[in-house]
Parts: sequence; C-alpha cells; structure tokens
Amino acid sequence: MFSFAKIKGGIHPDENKHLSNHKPIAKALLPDHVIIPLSQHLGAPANPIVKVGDSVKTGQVIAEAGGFVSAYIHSSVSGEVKDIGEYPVPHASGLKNLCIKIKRHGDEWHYLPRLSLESSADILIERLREAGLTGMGGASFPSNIKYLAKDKIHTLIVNAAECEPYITADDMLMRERAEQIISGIKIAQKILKPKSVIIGVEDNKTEAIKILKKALAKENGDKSSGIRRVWPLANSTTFYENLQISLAVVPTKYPTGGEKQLIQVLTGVEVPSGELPSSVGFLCQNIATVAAISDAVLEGMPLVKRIVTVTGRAVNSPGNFEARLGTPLSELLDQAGADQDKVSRLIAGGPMMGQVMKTTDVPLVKGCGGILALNEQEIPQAESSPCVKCGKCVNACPMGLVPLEMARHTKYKDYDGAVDFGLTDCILCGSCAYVCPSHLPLVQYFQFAKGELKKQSDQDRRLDYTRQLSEVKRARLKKEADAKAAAKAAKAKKRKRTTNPA
Amino acid sequence: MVAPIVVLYLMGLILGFLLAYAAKVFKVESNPIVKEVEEMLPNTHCGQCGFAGCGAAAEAIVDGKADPTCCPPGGNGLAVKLAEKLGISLQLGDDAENIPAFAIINSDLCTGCTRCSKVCPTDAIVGANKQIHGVIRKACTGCTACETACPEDCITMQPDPTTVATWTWPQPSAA
Ligand code: SF4
Ligand code: SF4
Repeated sequence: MFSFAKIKGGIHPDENKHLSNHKPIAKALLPDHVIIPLSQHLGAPANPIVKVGDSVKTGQVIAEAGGFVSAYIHSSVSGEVKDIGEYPVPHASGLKNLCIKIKRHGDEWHYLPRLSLESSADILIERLREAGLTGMGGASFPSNIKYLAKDKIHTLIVNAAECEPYITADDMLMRERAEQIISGIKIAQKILKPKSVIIGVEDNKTEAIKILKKALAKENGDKSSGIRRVWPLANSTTFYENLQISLAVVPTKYPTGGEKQLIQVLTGVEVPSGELPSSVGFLCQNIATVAAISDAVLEGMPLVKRIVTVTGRAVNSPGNFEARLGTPLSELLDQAGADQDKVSRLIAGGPMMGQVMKTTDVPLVKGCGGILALNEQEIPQAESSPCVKCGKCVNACPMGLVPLEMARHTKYKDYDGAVDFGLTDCILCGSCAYVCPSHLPLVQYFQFAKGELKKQSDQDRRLDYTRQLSEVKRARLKKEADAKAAAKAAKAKKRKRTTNPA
Repeated sequence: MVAPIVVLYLMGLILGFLLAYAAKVFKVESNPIVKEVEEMLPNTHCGQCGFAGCGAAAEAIVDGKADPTCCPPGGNGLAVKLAEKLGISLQLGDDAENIPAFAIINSDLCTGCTRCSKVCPTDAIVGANKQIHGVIRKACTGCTACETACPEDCITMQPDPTTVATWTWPQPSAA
C-alpha cells in the first residue's frame, strides 16, 4: 500500500534540540500589552473592525479577512485598543507594518459556540475560517482555503517531522497533548474523508513517538492489533498502522519536514513542479495546526496562542512556552532568561529557514514556532569565496536543482537563466548554503532573484493595466469629440432649416 | 474541357501580376518591427522617454537612436523583453534609478481646477471641479504630465515607499 522513497539530498546539521526538550511546556506570563499584526498569513491583510478606545475580550474578532485568501484576527488578551498603526513586525525586511496594539486588563474570554464531530464538513470549514486558523508550520496559509479542496484529497499527512534544528515545539506538543492531536485529526478526517491519514515524525523524537503510539492504540480500542509495525526498516522508515490513523517514523534528515519532501518520503509520490500537494490528492498539515483545529471546533477557541520554542546558547533556561499571539519577543526572551550581552543573532523561526530580527520588539505571530537567541559561537563566521564547482550543493538540494548555476545566473542578473536551473522550485531550505565550502550566500541569491522576478511580473501587470486605462481614455476622448462635432453639425443644420422658410 | 483550364490559368496569371503590382504600389513604409515594438510599449504616450509618444519611441528604439531602457513606466522588465526582441545587448541600469514614482497632490494647495486630470493619460487623477484632486496609485505611471499642467505647483513626483508587501531581498554583496 505504501512505498517508501528517500528524499533527495538533505543534510544533517547539529540538532541542538536537547537544549529545549526536557522541560514541560510553560505558560508564558500574560503580557502587559500585545501588538497584533494584521498580516500574519499568506494573502491579503486583514481589515481592522475595532477603533482606538474600544474594549475587547480575548478571542474577539478585531480584524476581518481582507479577501478570499486572508484570515480573521482575534484579540489575544482582554483590554483596550490603544493604537492601530505601524509597528515592527517579524519580517526579513525589518520594516514596520500595520498592527493593532492592545493594553491588557485581565483575561476575559469570548468563545465561539462549541461544535462537535457531528457538524457538517461545511460548518467545520467555516469554523476554521472564523477561528482565524492558518498553517502554524511557517508558511501561514489560511487553513479553510486548504480544506476547500476536500474532494480532491485522498491522503491527509500530518507533518510532525519538525526537521529544523533547535525547535522542539511540536515534539513537546505531541508528548503532552496527544489526545488533542487525535481529536484534531478526527475533525480533519470528518471534513476530508481521506482514505488514509499518516502522521510523519522524525526518528529523533523517541518520547513523542512512544506517546503517540499509545494514544493511537487506545483510539483503536484494541491494544494488540491497534498498532502494527508493518514495514520494519524498509529504507529505515518504520511504519505503524492502525485502521484509521498511521504513524510513520522517518529517518532524521533536514528538510524532511518540507511539504513535498514529506509526501515523497511517506508515499513515494512526487508533487509535480509548480503544483500544490492537492493536485495529487494530498493535504499536508502541520501538527500544531491540527491541535489548534481541535481547540477551534470542540472548545470554540480562536487562534490566539501558540507553543513556541525559545532557545539558543544566549538563553539561560531554554524551553517551550505557550504564549499569546502579539506578545513581544523581548518578554518571552526575558522569561527564558536570555542574556542580552551574549546574543549575537536573533532569529524568528528555525536556524535554517527563520529570519534574522533586528529588534526584540517584534511580536509573536501565528506562524512562528521558534525564537532563537544565538551566541557568537553558534553562527558561522566564514568569509565567502568564489565557487569551486565542487557540486556539493547539487547533491544536497532536496529539490534536485543546480544551486551553483542558479547563483551564477543570478549574479549576472540573468534570472530567466536561474529559472532554467530550477529557481522557481527552490524552497529556500538552505541545504546548499550549509554544505558550500566557499560559504556562498546561496539562499540570499535565490531570495534576491525571486524578488526581482516578482518585481518584473508586478511591473508587467501594471503596464497592462495602465495601457488599458489609456486606451479607454483615448476612446472616451474620441467619442466626446465625435459627439461634439455631431452636435455642431446638427445645430448648423437646424439653423439652416429655421432660416430657410423665411 | 480545355476552356476552363485556360481560363483558370489566365486568371491565375493576371491575379498574380495584380498582387505583385499591389505589393509595390501599396508598400507599407514603416518597418513591421516598429509596429511590434510599439505594441510592447505602454502606449500611454506619456513622453517620459523624451519622444513624442510611444510610436516615435518605438521607431527610435528600433533605429538604435534610443536605448531599450528609455521607458520608465516599462522598467527593466520591458527593457529585457525589448532587447530580446531586437537581439541587442543591454546595459541594465541600477534598480534604484528604476523605482517607479507617483504623483502626489498637495491638498493644501490644490484648487480643483481639473487641469491635471485632463492631461493624465491613464485617468489616474480623480476629483470633481473645484474639489481637491487625488491620485490613484495603481493607475499612475509617473509620467509627470500633471506636474507640468498644474498651475498651482502642488503636484510632486515621489517614489512609492517600500512596504513589507513590496520589499524584496537585496543583492548579496559576496563573491
Ligand atoms: S535552498 Fe533551494 S537550491 Fe538550495 S538546497 Fe534548498 S531547494 Fe535546493
Ligand atoms: S557547493 Fe558552493 S563551491 Fe561547491 S559547487 Fe556549490 S556553490 Fe560552488
């Protein structure tokens, strides 16, 4: 039924997960104020529906989806809206963006009505929308939109690979809230009616695997046949299957948690270039999102908090925190005992794909699973030198691309050339840059080239638009001129007629 | 039996000569490539390139009198396409020079004379007579026609500020 394939390429960076995975999830202190960005998701920013001075409750909608692909935003504390304005946000640009600032007074909740597994698929999808759910693995794609493709889906993949070094938020979630995860999966099953559900976990999370296995066995009601090991050590992937939900333990390798990579390693199916997993019948959902789905449906709780790993060697007591969205990273760093003098680099996200932050004033957002305060020894310092054409990057690339050629063409501003070598398929995982002996900033080249291509296509679109506008204007002017001429002619004729009979 | 063959043969001959003659007499003076290039240009006739309209610019570009980069609203994207079409090499300008500018109307000075909206090739300026006018960013090509037309000197051209949505990664400086 399943075939296993290895992912192409990939790397084995130092995991550094031991720093943060031995303590239970701590509840972060409620912040004095929260700063909630209106654009935490892929798609159009949300439109605020509150005014300065309004009092809001935890879970109350403060901004509505600003388009089809967009998401609701809820207040993560109860208190008073202090400002709607520009604040620093966790974005690679370091720029400010529109946020709602709320001063907290207590923590009074506003819940959505509870639903159950009996609710229809449409009602459940609507709930994902109302609850402002977006993928919590990083890309922040609005969940309801993903589930709208339900009729195409035959397999639900729950992404618990958590392949980024340092981050242990999903690991701890599985250890502590296996039941919640399973009820989330059941809701997803209810919506999608998939033929199979596979949870994909990397084999470095032994504790979490044990707990999940137990929970799945219980779920099936029959301990002996509930969970079977059906594929011992084929390509070193172990497969546990029960009737509804299977658990697949995959070898630890970065970036197995990439959507396309995980699908490939679990099922052998390659998602075609430029296509979404749904085009071949898969829906891949991060495990934290699955848990949030359970909260949204069964508890009526919108997405206002998440588990985040605060770690790095500039932090004295790294760990996982369940924190309200909009909490300034500085407060979370304080609670984990960050030593400001030792911090050489602050990253929102994981060390491979996260973004460097210039300030700790940025808030926690829906898609942020990690806050890294790294000391000097933890960041590579090497100078880059010209490419030696060793081909290591080609071997490391999980998408089977040719990074050295992509970089070379980018350097000469030949972006179409870079596309020929795979730029569009590049997932910016950083594997190539990790292995490059010349320490070339390969990912930055690809980010740059992707940005240039986007700018070009935006400009092309504008050009088409303004061209149309000017055509319309010219046509209108011509029509007006014609109408004037016609009126003049008519007038002249009339005058002639009135003068004639005399 | 023979008659139709002869007739058809003659007809073919005559029509052939007619066609050859017509091609000579009605020969299109303009280079067809100019027409194609003109179609690629924005066709807003904004004059930012220094030529009278996109037709004149197309001619100049084809004749090599103007650079494919001469069209500011088209930007580098258009320049690349033009160079490809004409098979010429291209010296792309720094992108910083290419940031699109937009007209901004100072509402304190605007008298609502409508002169600007009359000259705007893309109808990007809205506002009724005697009322303050505003610019629709999306539609403005930065052609400066309104700047010249405004009797109150209240229009300035300003680059669009970079936002989180429009920001893109800078070029890496290394090797
Ligand atoms: S960053 Fe892009 S090119 Fe480099 S290894 Fe990852 S997918 Fe391949
Ligand atoms: S790994 Fe670095 S040095 Fe080696 S071929 Fe790739 S870019 Fe060049």
